[in-house]
This record gives sequence, structure tokens and C-alpha cells, in this order.
Amino acid sequence: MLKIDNLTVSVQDKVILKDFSLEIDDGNIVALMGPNGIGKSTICKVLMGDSNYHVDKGSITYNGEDLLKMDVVTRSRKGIYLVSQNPVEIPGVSNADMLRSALECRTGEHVNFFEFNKEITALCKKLNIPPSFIHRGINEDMSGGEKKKNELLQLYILKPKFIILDELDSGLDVDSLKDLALSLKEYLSDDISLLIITHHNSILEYLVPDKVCILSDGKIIKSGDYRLALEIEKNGFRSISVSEEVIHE
Amino acid sequence: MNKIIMDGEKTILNNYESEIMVSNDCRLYILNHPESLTLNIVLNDNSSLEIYDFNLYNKDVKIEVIQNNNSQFNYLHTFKIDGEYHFQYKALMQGNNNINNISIRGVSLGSASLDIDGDVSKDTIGNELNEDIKILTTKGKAFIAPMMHINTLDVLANHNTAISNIREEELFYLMSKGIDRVMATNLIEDGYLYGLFKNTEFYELIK
Repeated sequence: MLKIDNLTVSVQDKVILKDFSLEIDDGNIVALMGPNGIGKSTICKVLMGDSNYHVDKGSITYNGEDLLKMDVVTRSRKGIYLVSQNPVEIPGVSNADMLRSALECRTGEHVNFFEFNKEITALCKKLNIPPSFIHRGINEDMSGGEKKKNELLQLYILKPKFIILDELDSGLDVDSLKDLALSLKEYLSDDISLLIITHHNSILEYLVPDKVCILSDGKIIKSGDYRLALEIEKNGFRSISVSEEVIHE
Repeated sequence: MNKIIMDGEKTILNNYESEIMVSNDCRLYILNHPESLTLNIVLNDNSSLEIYDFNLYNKDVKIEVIQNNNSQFNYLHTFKIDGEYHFQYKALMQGNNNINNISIRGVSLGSASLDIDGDVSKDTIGNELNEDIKILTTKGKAFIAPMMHINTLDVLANHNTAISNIREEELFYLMSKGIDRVMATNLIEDGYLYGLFKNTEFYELIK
């Protein structure tokens, strides 16, 4: 379970989140919605441990432990996984090398090359990803859709328990979004939680949230069930008095 | 100095101080030269030479290439050094319609200095000179001095050089997958070192 309590976050002395609170139970899907530039991605970066984001006050506990005391590596090994809006490209470092290293770092044991290849090839087939992906440089020369598929492939290998999707739907066509969302849905179980950051309803059609929260002025101003997302889709954010001020791009 | 005549060959260089005469299409592999490397290369008309040079030792390199007519020289070099490293390269394009491509990727944990000279002779036509050099300075430093002497109007000359540290966002990305900082740094450095040779037969050899 993840609990965020009265969190205030700033970047270069500019406050982005202000007294932000949110709870996500195990197995739950929570959608955090809001217009562009309102600070939705900030919460993703803070949860993953990006040091560019400064926590001024408040707390985050993950399964009873103080998340803010953990570095990014520890958070990942505890099961937190971020699918960024635009995953970084690292030329020359193949996905296979990265994933083998990640597994070895987690387990402290050598990863059997043959077994690893077998597993990842089967996964590529399951996710409808060309096997050549695993030997390509991380996100190198990949389209937006390919990058997201790549993140999903990594997710299946690293088996996280708390997944943060930062606008998975950006840069994806409707078919790709559906394929990715359904593949992710298949991964979910009672002990895996999902935080979806989005400003559209489309992804929520496939990953129906238990709770929908609307972000404005650095805090959640309204919560509800999936019907709230449908209302937003129909009437827009203005209908619930969401601030239109761009706080952080 | 050892003299080598290459005529349509693919070979591994074992003598690190050599004069090489090239005819037809040739390829030369240089792997971790344990002593300084000095090569004086002459490409005859209608010939090509491709050199793959991978170096993990702090041993200096001095290469001079003379191209006559209708020749192509490709030099792909990666290095990782933790001491002093001096690299000197000189391309002399004396005739017409030659191509000279030099690509270098390096990781400097010490002090690397690279002098890259290209000289295109007067009144020649159709020559092309491309320099692409990127050095990663994780703990060390690097100095690149590219110099092009172009004495003719009909030439295509490009140079692209960069010295940079590892980007924090790359490290953050790898660390967010559970890879500790030291291994993440090694992965990025290895990507620099081996990336240039991906999809070549040399890759398996250096790996």
C-alpha cells in the first residue's frame, strides 16, 4: 500500500504540489487526471526518487516504510516501476544487457544467458514485439509506441508491484494503446497497484480505475469512481473548476 | 618499420609499427595493441581500407593516411583509458574522388588528447572528409583538436566532435530499473565502447 500525506514538492523554488495526499491500496488502480502542465508528472518523479524534485514537507510510506528515505535503486528493487512519458534513449546499451544487469543487481546472482534469452523471446512473442527489440539500444531510434512497448517488456521481466504510468497514452495510436493497455491488464493481480497519470479517458476504458482523482492547484480537488472520468471526458476539466494555470511543464 | 602490402585482404594487425600499401578492398583489425601504434598507410587508386581499432591500453596512436584517387578509408576506433593517451591522425588527400571517414568513441578516465588533421590538396576534386568523435569523460578529461586544411573549392568536409559527461537522466533511468550507480555507469561506458562495432563481425571478437 502507498500512502502520500500532505506532500509539498518544489522544483527550483517553485512549489508544484501543495499538501497533496493520496492512498493507493494493493491491487487498486487509481487515475490521476488534470490538464497539461498542472504537475501530474511531478508526482511520478517524486515517487521514483528523482533528486531534481525537492520534498519540502509531508511523507510517503510504501508498505509501511518511509519511501523518502530510499534512493531510486532501492525503490525499484522494492517493486516501484515508472513508465515515463518519454523514456530516455541510451545508445549502445542493449535492452538485453540492461535487463540482465538489472536482474543480477536484484538477485546478486549470475543470470543464465540461455534461460534469459528463452524467457525474453517468449515474452516478445506474447507481447507481439519483434525479438530484435532485445538487442537494440535502449529506446534508440524507437518511435513513441515502440518505446512504450519496450517499457512493457521490461516490466514483465522486472515484475514490479507498484506501477506508475506517466501518460502512457501520449504518442500512441488507438490500436497501440489498446494492445499495450490490455497487455498490462493481463499482468495485474490482487497485489499489484497501478497509478495512471492521464488527461484522457481512453486508457481508462481498458484499465478501469477504482478511484479517479482530479489535480488542481497542487492538490486533489475531487475524487470519485470511474464515472468522474466519464464526466470529465464529456464536460471537460472546467466543469469542475480546475485551475488552468500551467504550473510545471 | 615493418612493411605490409595488402591486396584484397582481411587481417588482424600484429606489428604495431607498419607501413601499409593498399590495393583493392581490405580490412584490418587492431585489438588492444600492447605498445604504441604507428601506421603509415598509402591507398592506391581504386582501393579501400577499413580499420577497426579497439584499445583498452594507454598506448599512443599515430596514423598517417595518404589517398591517391578513387579510394575510401574508414577508420573506426574506440578506446577506454585511465592514464595518458595521445592520438594523432593525419589524412592527406592528394588525388581526386576519395572518401575519408573517421569515427571515434572514447571513454577517458585519465587524460586523452586527440589531434585530428585532414589535408585536402590544391586543385583536387570530389573528395569527402568526415570526422565524428565523441568522448565520454566520466572521471577524466579529454582534449580534441580537429584541424582541416582545405585547399580546393570542390570538397565535402564535416567534423563533429563532442566531449561530455554521462547524462544524469541516463543514470536515473538505469537506476530506476534497480541497477546500482556503478554498474549503470559501466553499462553506459560499455555502450560507448562497443556500440560503434555493433552488427559487425569485430563485435564478437572484442566482446
